[in-house]
Amino acid sequence: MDKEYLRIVTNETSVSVLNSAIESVRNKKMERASARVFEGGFLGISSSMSHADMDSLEKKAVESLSLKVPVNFSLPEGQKRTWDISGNSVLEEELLKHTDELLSKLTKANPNFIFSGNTRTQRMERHLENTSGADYTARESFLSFELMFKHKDSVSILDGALANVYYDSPDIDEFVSKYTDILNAFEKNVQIDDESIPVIFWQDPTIMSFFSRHLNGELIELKTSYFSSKIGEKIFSDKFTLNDVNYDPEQRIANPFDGDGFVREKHVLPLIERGVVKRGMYDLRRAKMYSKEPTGTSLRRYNKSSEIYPNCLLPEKTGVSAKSIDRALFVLITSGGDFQDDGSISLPVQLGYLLKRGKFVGKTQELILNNTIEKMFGLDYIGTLDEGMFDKDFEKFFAVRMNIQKG
Amino acid sequence: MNRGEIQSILAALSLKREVEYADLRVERTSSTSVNMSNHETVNAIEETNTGAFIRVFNCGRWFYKSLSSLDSVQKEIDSLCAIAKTHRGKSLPVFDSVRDSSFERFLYEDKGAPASISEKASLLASYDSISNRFAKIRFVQSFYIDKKSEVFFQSSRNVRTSYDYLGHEVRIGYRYSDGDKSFNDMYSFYSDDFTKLFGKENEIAEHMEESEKFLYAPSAEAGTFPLILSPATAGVFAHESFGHKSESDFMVGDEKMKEEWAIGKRVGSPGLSIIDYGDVPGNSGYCPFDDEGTKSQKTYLIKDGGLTGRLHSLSTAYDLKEKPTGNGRAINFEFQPIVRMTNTYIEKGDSSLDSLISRIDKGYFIKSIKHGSGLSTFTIAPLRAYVIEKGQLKAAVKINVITGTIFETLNDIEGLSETVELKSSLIGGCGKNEQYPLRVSFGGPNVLVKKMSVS
Repeated sequence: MDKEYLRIVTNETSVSVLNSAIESVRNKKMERASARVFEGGFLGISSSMSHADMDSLEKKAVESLSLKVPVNFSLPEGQKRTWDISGNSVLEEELLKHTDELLSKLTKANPNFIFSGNTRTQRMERHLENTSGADYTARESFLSFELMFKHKDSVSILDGALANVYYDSPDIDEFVSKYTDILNAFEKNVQIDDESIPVIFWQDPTIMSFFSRHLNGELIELKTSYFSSKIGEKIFSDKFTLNDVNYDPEQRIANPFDGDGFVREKHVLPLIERGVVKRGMYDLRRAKMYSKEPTGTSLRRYNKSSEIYPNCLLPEKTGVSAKSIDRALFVLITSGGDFQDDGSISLPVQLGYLLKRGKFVGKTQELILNNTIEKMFGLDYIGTLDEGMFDKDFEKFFAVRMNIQKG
Repeated sequence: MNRGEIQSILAALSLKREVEYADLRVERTSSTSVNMSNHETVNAIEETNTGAFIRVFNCGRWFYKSLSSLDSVQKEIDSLCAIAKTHRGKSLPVFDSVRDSSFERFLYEDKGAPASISEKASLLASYDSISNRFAKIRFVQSFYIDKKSEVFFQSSRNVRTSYDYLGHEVRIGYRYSDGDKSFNDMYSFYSDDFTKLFGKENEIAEHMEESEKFLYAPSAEAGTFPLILSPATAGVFAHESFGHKSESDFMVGDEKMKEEWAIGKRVGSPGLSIIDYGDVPGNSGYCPFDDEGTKSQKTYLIKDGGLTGRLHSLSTAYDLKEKPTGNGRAINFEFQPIVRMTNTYIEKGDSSLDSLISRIDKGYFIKSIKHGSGLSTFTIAPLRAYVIEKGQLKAAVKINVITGTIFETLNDIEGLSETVELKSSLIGGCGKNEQYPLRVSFGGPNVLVKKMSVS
């Protein structure tokens, strides 16, 4: 019988902010664990988020073999390895002090705004071990500021968000300075009348979700993905390369082993390369089912089955800078839009800014942006910016042209 | 650990530790999840967890700790109280109005032996196979999920509440494809009684058959049109557009919001009422007592077009000098209660759906949706929509998004049908701040809106 044990331990301290003041301090240590057993072509699984020892989880997993859940792959072989991107993260005890300083400086610099949200330190360790020799540990830790802002004269429940993640001591002055520029611009209304103005997105989840969904290898094999008939074809701009990255300490990405314990050879896997759709993503189960190579893209929550999901989709930089674009619409909040399966998209923009050569000038009216996926990353693709827009962010920003409809 | 053992541990605890206030919430949750992917079972798992959340309030600040074991709960209470006592700040009489009380509500303990996981998997497989009748369905993902919770609460103010919750859901997600055309759809149903999940074959098949129309549906004409929102769509609108603005933690210390949301202000059409009420058994927002021990109140957020109420925790009720409503909720024992909705719905009117449709010359019927969200404007991404022409329901169309300004739309409601339907779900839920998903339900009648933007 083959066996696999997964344990995810999270230590977190969180300070909650309400009405620009500290409301609460919370500590928690959570441990999520699961055991999987493989025998005779069947899978048994058990899980817990309370205290549970692996022996009792394994016993339950063995009992659940009677449910005859089929499994077509063997546990991947491996060795003992540790990936640690913890760095010199801030101690929990210092979080209150940092939060006090942050709120004091932020409210002083921006007296017309109210802030709420939280600051957090988190240390996480993910350990996966199987009877084929894999014994993997990944550790990461960070401090984050996640605050929503609201203008004192606004009748919205929130007007926008300020966020940053730090892997060592936070530079609060820089955080306040960068976001004060944005908050100052928020107080100035501007109109976007130019329908061909470049639009800069901040790694928009709706846009990236189209790639996550349609580069799913199973949908491609079943001829039901947008990309099913386009593998190997050039349908996007030469400038557009989209990678799945599973490990990069500089960009703080640490998923070196996937949900089934598979470690792929290269950390950077091009899914779209110079406009050509190169490949879909496969976990061990679907790779075996469709005779493909696994791509290390199995996401498995501790109590769920594996699903195909990218580690981190990142478009490659193309030598474009926000400062090199005279005028742009920067989209800070877009919510509620979606793609149709034919690749068309509508995105309502709740908070957009006019940007002049990288500087935030003013808040735009609400807009709706329309386009198709092939045009966005084809003819209308300007490029992915070389630099982040905020302090020490590792997010990717890309610039495209959209059909702008006034809301 | 069973209910009796938890109650014994709680009975032996002391929360009076020289702080202004302390409480403890213990949750025992059992869940089942069965998942099929393209007709093959890929996961079948049962999980039982017990955990606790301690809150201590002292000199104007909350201190929280989450525990995944009850082994040393008194020690943890004492330790958190000791930290809270070191805090220097202004003492606030937040809990002075809290009175001794004790309530218990266990609805699901005498319902007979629960179904086995094999029976649940077998039920799911029978529904999953219905898609085989439709040649153009290329991909199917089916889920069975259930959750049984027992929640025990006690505070240093001698408040004790306990209750249980039970819900089951089946969801069949499927994807039609024909050449380069595809359409994703799903059918789901929920009950607090497992036996009521049977006999749904015809409903599922009819739903799958209707979906095929949308595979070939053209895109809708963009512009501003009158719309009819189905009960589930109206529920998302009520939840996203107005419900979140009724959560009063956004109002604390914000004079502009207090002015804007003054009770009595006219915010919608005459005849429009929106309610939030946790004590509606059989729905996924069922919550007879909140996670602060407050009994759920039936709160009219809007009554006949006027603003009549808002949702409160103990703290926000104190801050805004109103009464708590039983809306202090947490997603589980990892988190503190914050102001959240429960079952939120628009009250019924007196028209039939047909009569609402007959009033529209050119517009759309939004039958089901993918998702919705709401800030100053709200947006809904429709899934199934139909053209209405000259008072008649016509062809299926694809709509990317509908949007509206909240107050304009509330004032543009011109008709409500006569039956309210609530949509319950355990897969997904409501998200706020870091807490997702919270089980809620939402609904309403069919709602006629004079104009909304379609793109």
